[in-house]
Amino acid sequence: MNRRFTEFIMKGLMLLSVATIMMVLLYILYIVASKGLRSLSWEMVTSLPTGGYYLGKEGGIANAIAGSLMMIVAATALSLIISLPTALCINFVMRRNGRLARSSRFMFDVLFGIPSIVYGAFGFLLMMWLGVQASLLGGTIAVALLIMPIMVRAIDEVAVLVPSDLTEAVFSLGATRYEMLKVVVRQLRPGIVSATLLAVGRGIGDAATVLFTAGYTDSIPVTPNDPAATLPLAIFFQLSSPVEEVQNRAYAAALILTAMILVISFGVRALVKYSRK
Amino acid sequence: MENILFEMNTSVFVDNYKATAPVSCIENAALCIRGLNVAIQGKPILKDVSFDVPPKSITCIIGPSGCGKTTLLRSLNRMHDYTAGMKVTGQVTIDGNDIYAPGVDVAALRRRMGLLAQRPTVLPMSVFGNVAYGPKLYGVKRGELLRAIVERNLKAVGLWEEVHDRLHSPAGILSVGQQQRLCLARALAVQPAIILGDEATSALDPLATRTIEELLLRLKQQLSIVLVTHTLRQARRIADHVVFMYMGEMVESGSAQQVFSNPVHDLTREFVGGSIG
Repeated sequence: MNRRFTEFIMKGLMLLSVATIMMVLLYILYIVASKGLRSLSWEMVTSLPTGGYYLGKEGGIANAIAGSLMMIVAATALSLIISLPTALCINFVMRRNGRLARSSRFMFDVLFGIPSIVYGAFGFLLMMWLGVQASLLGGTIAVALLIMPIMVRAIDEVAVLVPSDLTEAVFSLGATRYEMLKVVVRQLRPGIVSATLLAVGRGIGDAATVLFTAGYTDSIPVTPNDPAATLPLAIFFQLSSPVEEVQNRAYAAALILTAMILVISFGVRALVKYSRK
Repeated sequence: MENILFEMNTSVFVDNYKATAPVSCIENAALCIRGLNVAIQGKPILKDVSFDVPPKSITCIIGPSGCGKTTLLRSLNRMHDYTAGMKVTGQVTIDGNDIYAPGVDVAALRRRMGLLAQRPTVLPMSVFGNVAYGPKLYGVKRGELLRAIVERNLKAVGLWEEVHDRLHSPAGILSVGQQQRLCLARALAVQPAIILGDEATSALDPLATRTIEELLLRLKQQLSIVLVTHTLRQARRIADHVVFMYMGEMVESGSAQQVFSNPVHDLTREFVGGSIG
């Protein structure tokens, strides 16, 4: 009787936890949607802010949408170029569970835990040192730094699961280490996609990293050296306005950001599924 | 079909290197092992192992678990090269060339020795891609030639009839038995002189095991096969020569008939009689 009771309580607690998380998630979506939908319009997505936009006059946040998209694409590409070889190196060049590999993993875990504002401040210092002003380029580098440890660890998580049987099978056919790695990357493709999506979600929504490094502007950046507006900062600036209409637009911007992440996420997954057929 | 050989440098894997110490092996030995010692982090696993692998026959390495069978097999194609702390001394020669001599092209060496692992390990690509992988590494690009190579080797393992209509499906959808035959076809596609099998049938059901055994018996007309096996019955069924290992030492080697019916050593008698192992 006693054991059954414990079973019942524990099961109940677990269900309650799941329900709580779902409720919070649904509530966030509800708030963003209910407040945002009121101000969401086609104009907001397609036009640039006019002079009085932040006082409640017409205009849109196309500058921030474009800025965020450009930055996340560039930052993800930059980060992947560095993260993939890093994860492969930890698993297939170093001894997978050797001291060097374990300390590398620990280092990336530490980097993972560093608050994004620190990456922003670091990026800012780096830019001052290099003589780069707040720009699309600066923001891209800072965001790439922020998402790199996430990507490395996410790819690493699947790379440790690659059996040594596979690498040995490739070696036994007379392949070199580089040729072996090419086969491994094929095996890791789904994991690389997940890691990329995780990083995109984290990078596109972060305000602190881009605050000092990307700046803010009412126009769409044309060169990497132009300052770039981003959605998280657009939300931040609008939400701090005393005008109610502008505050509602902040929720609309949040809705756009959420929708973008969902579209990218589902889109890439569908594409991967389709390409495998 | 035999004339579809693609141009490859099959025999030379050493840069003008000949074994320094002449070793006396049986005539035409496929492999000649002399004084092989393997130790991991100073702990010896193989102690002074010497035997010959006669050409065009099946040599079975038998012995109880943990006696060093797999370690022995893996030292024959230098699979230990990537294991840290592993030290190999002694001689393993093919055609008078020591495979552990400095300057050996390990990739080319491995190509001469197909490996059949315990669990079938297909590469993350199509059925066609698996068989074509090795030849592609060696520069076969012509689609027509690749198709001929794939067809010939799939026929050689009796898989062609079963898979010819799904050559471009992922290899992972095949049954385990089919996958092991695919692995054999993949190994054969690079025209090895020797096939190394590491308990190659232990993951298969009795029927699939029989298919593989029959294949090996057919293949021994063209190449030499070294098989580590757990099951004495398998060794009795297919072995021409037997090497009995015990606690890292080679206790006895000889023709299957001699080892099974008239063993010289007491340990061998106990093992083949079933009282140890």
